[in-house]
Amino acid sequence: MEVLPYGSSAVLVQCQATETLGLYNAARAQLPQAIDISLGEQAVLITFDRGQRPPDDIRERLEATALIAHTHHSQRRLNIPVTYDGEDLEEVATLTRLTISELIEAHSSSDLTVAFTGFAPGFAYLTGLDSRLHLPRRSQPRPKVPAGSVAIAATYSAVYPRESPGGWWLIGRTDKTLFDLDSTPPTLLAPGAKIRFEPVTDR
Amino acid sequence: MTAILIVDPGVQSLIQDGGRPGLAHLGIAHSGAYDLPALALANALVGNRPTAPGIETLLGGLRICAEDGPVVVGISTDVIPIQLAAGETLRIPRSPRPLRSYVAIGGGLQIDEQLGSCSTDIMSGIGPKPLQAGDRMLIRNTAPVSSTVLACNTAADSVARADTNKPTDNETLRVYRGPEIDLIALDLSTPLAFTVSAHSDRRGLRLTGGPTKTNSPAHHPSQPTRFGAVQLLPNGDLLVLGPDGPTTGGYPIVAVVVDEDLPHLGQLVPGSAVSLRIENPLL
Repeated sequence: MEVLPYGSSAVLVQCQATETLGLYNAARAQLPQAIDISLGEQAVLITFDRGQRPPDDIRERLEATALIAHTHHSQRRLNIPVTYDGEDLEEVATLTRLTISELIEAHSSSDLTVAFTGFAPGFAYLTGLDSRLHLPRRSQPRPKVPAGSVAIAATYSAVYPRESPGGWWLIGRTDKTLFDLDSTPPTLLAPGAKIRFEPVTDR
Repeated sequence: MTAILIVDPGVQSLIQDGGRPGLAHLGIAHSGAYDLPALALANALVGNRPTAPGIETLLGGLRICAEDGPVVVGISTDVIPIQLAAGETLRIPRSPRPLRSYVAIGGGLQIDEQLGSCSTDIMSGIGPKPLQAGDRMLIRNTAPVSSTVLACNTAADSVARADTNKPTDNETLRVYRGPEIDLIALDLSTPLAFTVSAHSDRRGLRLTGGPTKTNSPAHHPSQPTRFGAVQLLPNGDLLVLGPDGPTTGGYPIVAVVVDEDLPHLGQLVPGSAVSLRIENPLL
């Protein structure tokens, strides 16, 4: 891990993709004075109050707890029901050389983890996707992707929490509400949560 | 309970307060006033706490009317508050400088919070909608602001000075090195000069015409970002993220604006010159 200054009152902890959640949990436990701790693919950003210099010993504090935090972090488990009828389902099957049922099986049989959020409120990048489903993003993003769309791109799966533009492959949809301004927290999927997609069978 | 009425919101008027920190890990931006000290100044004029919700108005042109009187109004470009009698209208003059001014109402505006803040986040649509003609906002407590307010102008005297506060035709922003500073293969001992693009808003300020070129790698991971982070775009332009900017981004971060200069970002007028001066926090 590398701890880099990020403006006057934040540090960016660069690390391997597999280390982000452990460092995120360690930072939350060790740095209660931080006002925001957020994650990306290979880094954790720790922000303090404006004008407050980050402590000098962040590296030591994180190293001391990161390993423990990773094994003990919150194991919130959640099943998300999916109707696999996305607009891109057949194209994804063709590109991945799977049958539709193999595709559904591959997507719904892995335990996925919320690695980080971004792009839009509550948009969670889920890792652990079966490698047969890894595809680059669509070359033409859609101007409008409906809320609840279940999608894949690169090594991730995600559910669009609200209607937005998007360049991921749409393979299904869920009725589950992922973003609700009146709930605390407002998003269903927080970093570290474990997700499993459950195929909804035809009635 | 008295209220103010938006007669004309001008180009854009938004409710802003201190924002919603602590939610970046869920993809929710900090938001809040672009120029926090200016909001604090407007609030101080009327005896409100510094981050009480006020109106952030772009380029002037905002007109508000007091439904009942008196209503005490603080404008970030003024030095004393203005008292409006019932039915009286106040207009913020149209002017490019300051780009954003702030209007505070004595006693405070009564606005429902979303996720702990009244701020409008234009990127994600959280918070109240941008103000429109006909919007009516209740005032929380109209009673004893006068204990802190020593003198008032009336609307008629008010010059709401088209400001001379920040006559910055060439603002220099101090920045710290960002994680991908090495992508700028330039002499960093002299400031890097840019022009503020018209494609700038609360999500970010686009800086064009500078010396930066991109040698950027084809794939860059999505990394966490914040207000003030400076992204290097594929065409060599810079994008300085604003308070409603995304919480993660896939462009390299070459610099981050120092805290003291963050408020200036909200006042950089499109077309004006701006320089980035790189400082090293460790030396």
